[in-house]
Amino acid sequence: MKFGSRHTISEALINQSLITTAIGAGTTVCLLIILMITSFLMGWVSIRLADRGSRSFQEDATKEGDINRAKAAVITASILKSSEEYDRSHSN
Amino acid sequence: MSELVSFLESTGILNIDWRDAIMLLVGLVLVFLAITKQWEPYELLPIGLGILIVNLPLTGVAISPSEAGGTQGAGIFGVIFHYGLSFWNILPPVIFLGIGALTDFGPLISNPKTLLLGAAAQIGIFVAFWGALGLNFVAADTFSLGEAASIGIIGGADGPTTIFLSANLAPDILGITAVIAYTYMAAVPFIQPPIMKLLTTKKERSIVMKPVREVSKTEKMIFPIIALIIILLVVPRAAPLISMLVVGNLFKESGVVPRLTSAASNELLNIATILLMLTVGTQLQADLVFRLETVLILVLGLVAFAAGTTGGILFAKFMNLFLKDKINPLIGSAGVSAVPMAARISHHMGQQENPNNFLLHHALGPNVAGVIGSAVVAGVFLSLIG
Repeated sequence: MKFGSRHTISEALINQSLITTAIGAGTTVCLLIILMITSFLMGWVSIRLADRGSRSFQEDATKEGDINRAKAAVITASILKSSEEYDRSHSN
Repeated sequence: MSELVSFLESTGILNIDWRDAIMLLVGLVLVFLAITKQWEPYELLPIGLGILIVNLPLTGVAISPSEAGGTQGAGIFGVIFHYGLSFWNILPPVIFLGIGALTDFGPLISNPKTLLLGAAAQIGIFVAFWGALGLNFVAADTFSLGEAASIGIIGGADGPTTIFLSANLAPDILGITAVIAYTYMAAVPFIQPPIMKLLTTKKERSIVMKPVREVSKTEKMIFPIIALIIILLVVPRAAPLISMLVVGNLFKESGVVPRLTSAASNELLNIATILLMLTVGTQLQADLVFRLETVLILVLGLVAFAAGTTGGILFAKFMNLFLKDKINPLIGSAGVSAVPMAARISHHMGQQENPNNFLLHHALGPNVAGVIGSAVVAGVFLSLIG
């Protein structure tokens, strides 16, 4: 290290430093932007899938509810029917 | 009688000089702060002890293996420094494996905008890089391009990345850059808050951010794999750091290898930390510290940290000009890495204004982005200068 007089950096060094800075900063920013877009897309897909999942679950739940109601109706009807038959057979 | 004289001459008592004494005092102060004040004890205690050991004269613990004599005559910390840091450079990737196993990419995935803050905070690296090169105008041959890059990367506030790059580009100043990076990382609670207060208004610091969505396990597993592929396709030289970070993270997120996750985040990380911090401390030898070059690196490192913090905060404020859901500019400072310390500081600063403001989760996004960003910059430096 030599102090005291006016010194200069070689033009080649300045050029290489400028290129290094431009490529370094540019690459970092671009890569992080790509990762940001990737994360946005992943989030979008994930939310869509979750929505679809919950909708089909609701649909499934509704279908299942219908089946249960139908079953309940059949059971009730058969009970009522059998009780009517029972009443008829035991009525004097 | 001559034996007694030669024995006395071989003791440290007759060989200690004022510079050693000052460094012993510095080591004792760090040990004191770590134990009594609990200031970054995992870093400051081993570093302080390392300083204490190495500055006791004639111990020879930091003598590196020579080409001629191999490890014969080398000191314990010299061997660790040579194989762990400068020659094999194995400790930084091992630490990244552990960090990966502890990292949660969730905050980053749930709020991807914060990746931009991690990018903005890397400006500190380039400010210090140009600062180091600019010193060549004042004194000839102060720092080479490789040395300037190694000094600049201190601004990434990431110790393992600093060591990784310095070992490759400027092994002569590796000890100093490593010590300064870790010292400033430990000093983040003192460096960042004044800058954060200066650059933000009370109203900005009080901004309560919208809660982020919950990230699924699948997303947490897909993101690091995509990041690994994209980054390494563009910057293959960043592979030792980025690949180990992703490996550790996938161990954790997959949930199928709990023993490996535990080994990476506990045993391996702890062993690497002990070896690294003690060795970093032993690099602070009096004859190395009391040099103008070291003082200049110390100043440039501080400039790098300050510029990185400033870059993150100002970019957060700039983003707020366009965003409907404003972000608290305090989380911008977390973009300098220093995981998770910088994120914790953002959180504490936010709570000082509004005790019900919980910024930690939000600040972890730029914090993790900063780790990725500084590793990418290191990879680019290696590709272009190495």
